[in-house]
Amino acid sequence: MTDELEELREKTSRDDRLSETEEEDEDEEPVAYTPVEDVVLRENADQGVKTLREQTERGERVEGDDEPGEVVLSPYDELFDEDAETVDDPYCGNCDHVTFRKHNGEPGPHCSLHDLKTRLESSMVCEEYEPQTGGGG
Amino acid sequence: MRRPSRVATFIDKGGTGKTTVAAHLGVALAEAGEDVLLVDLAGKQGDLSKHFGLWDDVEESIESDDDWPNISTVFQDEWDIIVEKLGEDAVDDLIHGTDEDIDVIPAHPGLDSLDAELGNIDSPSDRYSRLDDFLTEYVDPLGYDVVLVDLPGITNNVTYNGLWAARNAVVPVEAGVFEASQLEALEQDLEKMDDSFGVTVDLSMVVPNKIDRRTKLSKEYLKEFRDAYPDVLGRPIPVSQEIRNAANDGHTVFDVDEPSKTGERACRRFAENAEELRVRISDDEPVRRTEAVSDD
Repeated sequence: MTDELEELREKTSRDDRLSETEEEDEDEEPVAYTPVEDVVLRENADQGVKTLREQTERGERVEGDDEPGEVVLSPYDELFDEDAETVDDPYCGNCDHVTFRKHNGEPGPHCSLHDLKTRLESSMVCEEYEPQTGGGG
Repeated sequence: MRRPSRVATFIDKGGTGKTTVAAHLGVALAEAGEDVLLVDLAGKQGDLSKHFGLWDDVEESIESDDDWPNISTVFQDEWDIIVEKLGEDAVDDLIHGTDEDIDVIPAHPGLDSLDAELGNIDSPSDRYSRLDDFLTEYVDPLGYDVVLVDLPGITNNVTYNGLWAARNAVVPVEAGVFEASQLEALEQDLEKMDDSFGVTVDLSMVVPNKIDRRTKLSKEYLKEFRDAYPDVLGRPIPVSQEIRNAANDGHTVFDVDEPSKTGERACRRFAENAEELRVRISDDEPVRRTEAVSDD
């Protein structure tokens, strides 16, 4: 790489920009560690469980609401749900609201078979859950 | 020469599946015959690249100090000079091929500081048009049919660049009150861009994502979205563990050999949305870069 290119690289590379920031920070007083992030994480986790519980209670299973044998599609169902849907994923799907840490690369047993309300009420929710805080997608 | 259609996936909220929708819509468009380029601006974690098994290579290039230029470089003042010095390689090296018939420009950790750097540019039209300039000058000539930009889940200078360049927004939403309010906020932002800069960004599609039809909540919010966005509401994508498993394995659910019924249904819905999106974005003006913009 020519000197000119090397100069361009240094000027436009992330490391260079970061090092400028680091140099500026050198004169600042060191900041003692306070476990603020831990507190925030815990509060977020508590709020996450509360929200999940409320959503789950609102989102109770709908099968029981229908009269036995009644097959009447609403205009909404005709638009969105004309496919005969069977749920064949091995996991309940409610785990969308939290990000569970993986066990050997797969969701843990807390994700299997039971709906979230059941898992919450029976304390089956993994203790390592994290509320989804965004940033990704 | 006809300019590629451009689309950005965006909502100012994390976890709605923007990257998953971008990856699967991209592959669905490719399966429909379009030549597709995905651009990952969604952050240093490189999730879009992970969907196609590219991230290990990107990380390796970073570790071996072989990661320049990269997607964050194209926003710099010096980009034109870099291309002048490096020639076509400067752009070619940004683009990675995949096994699913689409190309990807991966994210880079340099995107982390990009928002602040763009904020130092005084002129708003210069600040927000960097990606548009790059795509117009260096990517459009490559002949892609569709350029799909995956944006961060936060409103900042990077996302404004993406919306400014794309002029079409696809908004993935989960069934929730926060998504509904963020959609309203996005509409207001788009109106501001139009009023302030004469840049019109169409809300091209709202994609209900991770829908679990077994719950009343999903049905309630789907009805709300349908009532609020009757003309642009896409087909709902079912929640599917298989989509996540596929991403972990470095591909989309389209590339799963024997998908579950839910996985098949997700593919079908993505394909239907892609087809509808093709129609909506095909009405784009061929070239819009010369539109007058104001720095006010």
